[in-house]
Amino acid sequence: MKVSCLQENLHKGLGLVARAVASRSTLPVLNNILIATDQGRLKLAATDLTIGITTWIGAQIEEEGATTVPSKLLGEFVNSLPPEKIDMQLNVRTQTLNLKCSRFESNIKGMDAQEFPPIPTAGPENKLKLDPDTLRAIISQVAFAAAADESRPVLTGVLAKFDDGKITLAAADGFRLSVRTGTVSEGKAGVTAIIIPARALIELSRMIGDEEEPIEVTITKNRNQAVFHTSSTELVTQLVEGNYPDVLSLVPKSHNTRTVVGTVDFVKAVKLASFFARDASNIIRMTIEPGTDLAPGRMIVRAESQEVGDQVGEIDATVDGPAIEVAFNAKYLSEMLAVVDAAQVAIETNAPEKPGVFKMVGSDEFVHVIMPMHVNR
Amino acid sequence: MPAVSLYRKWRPKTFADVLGQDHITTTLTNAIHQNRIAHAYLFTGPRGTGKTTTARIFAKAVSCTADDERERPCNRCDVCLSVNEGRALDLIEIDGASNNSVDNVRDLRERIGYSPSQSRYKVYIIDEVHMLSAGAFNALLKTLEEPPPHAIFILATTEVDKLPATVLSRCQRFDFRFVPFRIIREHLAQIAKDENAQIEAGALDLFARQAGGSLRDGISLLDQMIAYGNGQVTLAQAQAILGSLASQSVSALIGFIVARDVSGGLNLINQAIADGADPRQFVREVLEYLRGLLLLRASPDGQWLTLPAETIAEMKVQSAALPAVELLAVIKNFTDAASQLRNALQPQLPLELAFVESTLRNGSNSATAPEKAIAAPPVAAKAPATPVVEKEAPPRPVSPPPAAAPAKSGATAAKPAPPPPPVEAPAVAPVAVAFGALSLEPVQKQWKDVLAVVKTRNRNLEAILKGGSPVALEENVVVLGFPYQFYKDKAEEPKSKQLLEEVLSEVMRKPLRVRCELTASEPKRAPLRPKDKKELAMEDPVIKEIVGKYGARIADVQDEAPDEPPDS
Amino acid sequence: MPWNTIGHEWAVNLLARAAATQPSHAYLFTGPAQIGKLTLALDFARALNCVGPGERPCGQCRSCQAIAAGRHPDVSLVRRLPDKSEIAVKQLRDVQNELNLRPYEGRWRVAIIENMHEANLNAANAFLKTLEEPAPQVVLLLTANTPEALLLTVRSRCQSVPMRPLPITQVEEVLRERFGADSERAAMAARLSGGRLGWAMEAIQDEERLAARRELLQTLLDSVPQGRSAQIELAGRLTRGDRDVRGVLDLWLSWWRDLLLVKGQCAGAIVNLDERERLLRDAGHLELRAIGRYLTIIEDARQQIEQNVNAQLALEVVLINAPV
Repeated sequence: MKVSCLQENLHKGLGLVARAVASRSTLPVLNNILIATDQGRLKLAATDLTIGITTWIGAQIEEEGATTVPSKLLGEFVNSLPPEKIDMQLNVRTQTLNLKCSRFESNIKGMDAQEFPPIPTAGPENKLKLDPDTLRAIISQVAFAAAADESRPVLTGVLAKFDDGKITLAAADGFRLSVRTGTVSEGKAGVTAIIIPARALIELSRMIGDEEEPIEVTITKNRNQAVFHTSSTELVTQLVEGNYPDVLSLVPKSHNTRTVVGTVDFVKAVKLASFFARDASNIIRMTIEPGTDLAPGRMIVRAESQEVGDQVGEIDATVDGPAIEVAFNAKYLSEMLAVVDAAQVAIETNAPEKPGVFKMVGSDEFVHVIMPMHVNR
Repeated sequence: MPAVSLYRKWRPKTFADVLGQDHITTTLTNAIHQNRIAHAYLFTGPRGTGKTTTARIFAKAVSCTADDERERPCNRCDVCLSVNEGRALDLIEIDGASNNSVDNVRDLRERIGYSPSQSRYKVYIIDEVHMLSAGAFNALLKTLEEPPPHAIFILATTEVDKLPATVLSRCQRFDFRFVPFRIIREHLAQIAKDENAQIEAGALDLFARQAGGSLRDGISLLDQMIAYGNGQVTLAQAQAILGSLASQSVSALIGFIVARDVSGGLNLINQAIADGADPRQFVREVLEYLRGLLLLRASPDGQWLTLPAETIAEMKVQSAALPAVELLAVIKNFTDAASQLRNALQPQLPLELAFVESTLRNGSNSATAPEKAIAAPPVAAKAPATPVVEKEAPPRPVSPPPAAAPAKSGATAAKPAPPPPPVEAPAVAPVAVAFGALSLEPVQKQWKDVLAVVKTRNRNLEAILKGGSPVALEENVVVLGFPYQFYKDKAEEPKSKQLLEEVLSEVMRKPLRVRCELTASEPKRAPLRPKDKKELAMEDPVIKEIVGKYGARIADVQDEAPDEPPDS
Repeated sequence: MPWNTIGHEWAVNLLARAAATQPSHAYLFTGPAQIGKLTLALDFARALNCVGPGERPCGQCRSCQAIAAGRHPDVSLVRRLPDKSEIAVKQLRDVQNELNLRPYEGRWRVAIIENMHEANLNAANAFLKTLEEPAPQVVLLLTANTPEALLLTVRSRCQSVPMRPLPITQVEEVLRERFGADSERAAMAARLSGGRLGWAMEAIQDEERLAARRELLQTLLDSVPQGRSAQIELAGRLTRGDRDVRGVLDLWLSWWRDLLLVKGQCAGAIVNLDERERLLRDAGHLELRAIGRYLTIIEDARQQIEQNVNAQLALEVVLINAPV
């Protein structure tokens, strides 16, 4: 292999794929990055067998070939080189990669590319296209609600459902549920539902960055992987095995009380209360009172701790239905509010021990459900 | 096509499907009907008897949405289906072994406050709960005391004795039992039928016995055999794979013990192993057979035995020839072998040793007078004996013992008394010295037991003590003789000495002290026993050569009439 | 050469059929060390994921080769790390997490846990859930020297594949035909291996091993009449440094078992064929009971070593008690 490319391009490419390099693995070759010539470009790839990232950079190719070299060393080395042309040449017998840039030269020992597990790629299967902004938004509004612990493996994933020009992502950890629907720009998935590791979606969101072209999504034929393809980069993720709980049926169909509050007010009140909730099992109580002829409706947000003290905040609310008091976890409330992208939030409740539903006013694409906490009175 | 084993496929879905635990399922069903549901249950019992399965059924039943309480769990509503498909959010199965720390339990306590997502109750099944740390148990206690009204705990364990009493007292406890043989067998037959597998009745018997009371074990075995036999399983196949013996082999081995035929038994064992028998399985089957003999003593009609009549008849003959004390000694030998097999490098060695030991047991009854292995009066070395030498053949085929001599002679036949028993006491001869003066002899006799107890508390000390022996008794002080200073010093270390004194006093039931001495001479070896005829025959140079060079072996030694002088 | 396993035909048949149709989710391979448990497990892993045409495993396809080279993404091998005394909880937990994902390129995700008995109680218990109900495309393969060394709860979740020693004649044949060993050496190594092909293959390729064994046996035999101080000195010598006293005891055990067999007129089964004359001679003046008792002493010592009793002490006890 004999190629040359620009330092900036190589540096950027390595930075992208390095996210998928295994931190420690039983397979030593997974600590490496695959470098290969590919149809007039230079292909860089890494995988930890859960997530694989491949990117292509422009290069002059004099001689075809492939090898793998340690990610950390190569990344740090290239990062420190001046922004000039880099010449790379592989000694096939010793699997040593020679790099020349400006007046620096180095030889990095690699491993045979044959040892590198093939990264699955998108075949000619059904493809669908998603707008990058939509994809970023739905990931950010859902992925955080996936379970962190591995005791229920499917819950560490995000459910993706494809239906009639729509994509719906849903994540639940047994205490909350986040659902977001988006529009598919073009194409069909060929499957109805898959479970994607939440971590892969977060990497994907990072990878999309400021991408403007639509993202192509393909589910491989054996349904083991999902491939996300941007103009120059591809992310492949293994899918999670198992039955995902029927979470969409958990969203209550009706409510007794609907309360609309300003997002900014709500965020403020929750933040203040959470300081006191920390020492009290993170419980925040919300007392909702409908308005009367004389006074507008209001929502009282409070937290009390026997040791620290207590805090009460009051915000204006438009309340439709009877009064109610319900308690939620402060962390769940603030994490949900952090991804709300609307001026007002609607809270739908039925009873103190029934789930609370949170929606963005003016959009029905986002639904968030939080289980209330049992509070001894 | 997922890998699903039969035991998962056949996992019961209703209380009625749970087999052999009626005492539990009835109570739980009633609780559901009367809507009297506790907040903490403890399911204990051996593996594979249905603890987790019952817990899951109960979890369905408490939240089932069927209108008629008597139909719960209905296995049709969303709650039931989500549990059956392993996707219920409100059934939380926690593996106590991997989540055994205080932090894990604290997490659980924090989360338990949340209402259930879709069901009436949140059910927490904590499996292997005995693995929780002491701190974790303490943390769990608080939650067990005052769980929120929507929470139900089901703790499941195979080792209930590892649970603190405080936890036990807060749970409604259900003890799962081994599933009876008959029920397992019927169930296996049913599964075989549904899976369209043809299985010989004898093989089903074998699987059900092998299951040892665990349905899961039985079904796993069946699963494997169906896979192996491609839907057709014969008894011979099953025996081959399990390393099980042809049933007459065990009986033959016991016959050799009765007849004290060392050679016959050793050859049988080695042939069986060469034919693929599994030493563990062998010991297990021998023990089961011996247990049968024991049961026959208690109830001679053999009503407890699930064995063919001819086997029982054979066992009765053997049982008559083996007095209870001897039978117990034999059982002990094989029980020891079973426990030693665990680590044995040569798996059949413990089996062989148990067998040899059993043939050497002390006869206490003239009925067992063996004319085969132990020569009566020592034959003078020069007395000409005519050994019957046969060329060493491949190990003899498995066959019943040639001499059912003791049976023929019967218990009443007046045979000459057996040779004096060897010096050692039989393995099962508890000597309880409650009071009065103690002599050295019982201490020496019980020394093995003392060592055995010491071994359980300090293995190193046991190894040291093996280097010495009790040599004298002065008042209440046992004098231990050690041939080497090193051992003596080690044994005299205060901790060691104290432990030894404790154990010694326990075993002898008398307060005893210990003093250690250096013995000048080597400890006495066991006095020589009268040699057996074959040994003596081997001293004859001609015979020795035949045996040595041609690989022959001495099959029998017959006396020439010694009282008739050759030339009279 | 599709299956690397030699002999154990029934197990190979069972697994070949399972790989072609529907495997169970967990198998437990048991049998003495070096009998071929791992070889069989790897064979099965290859058969499960082979992509070659015809009989599986083909040994030729990319998948078969990757598994043989230990770099197949869907086949993981968990074993005690060389510097550790047991399999760590974390090792098992890591593999459990991998098993939750769909296969990377093969049909099955296969996890091989070698010597499961080296997992401590916590690790073994923590593995039970996975062992009972792993994800659908998972096959777990456990190996252990004896089933008894595992928790009952572990055993009862697996299909058991007990591997018994091969017939001595078969081992002999393999040694002659595949390794070109002469008949005498083949017979000797086969006997000593006790039907463990792995052991026999190593022994036949290692000229020194059999010689060293003979020499050690001679040393031990010589020590019997020499009296205590010589025996204690020998025990010290044989346990010095990091010498593995287990090998010494195993050899000694095999000698005395042979004596028992000779004495019990079952000489056809003896192991130390090359010392047959000596066995016959020695057995002549020993008592059956004494041999039996002494074997128990050696066994005890062997087990004490496993429980970390001072090796020198254990060996001393053994040597000192040898019946003359």
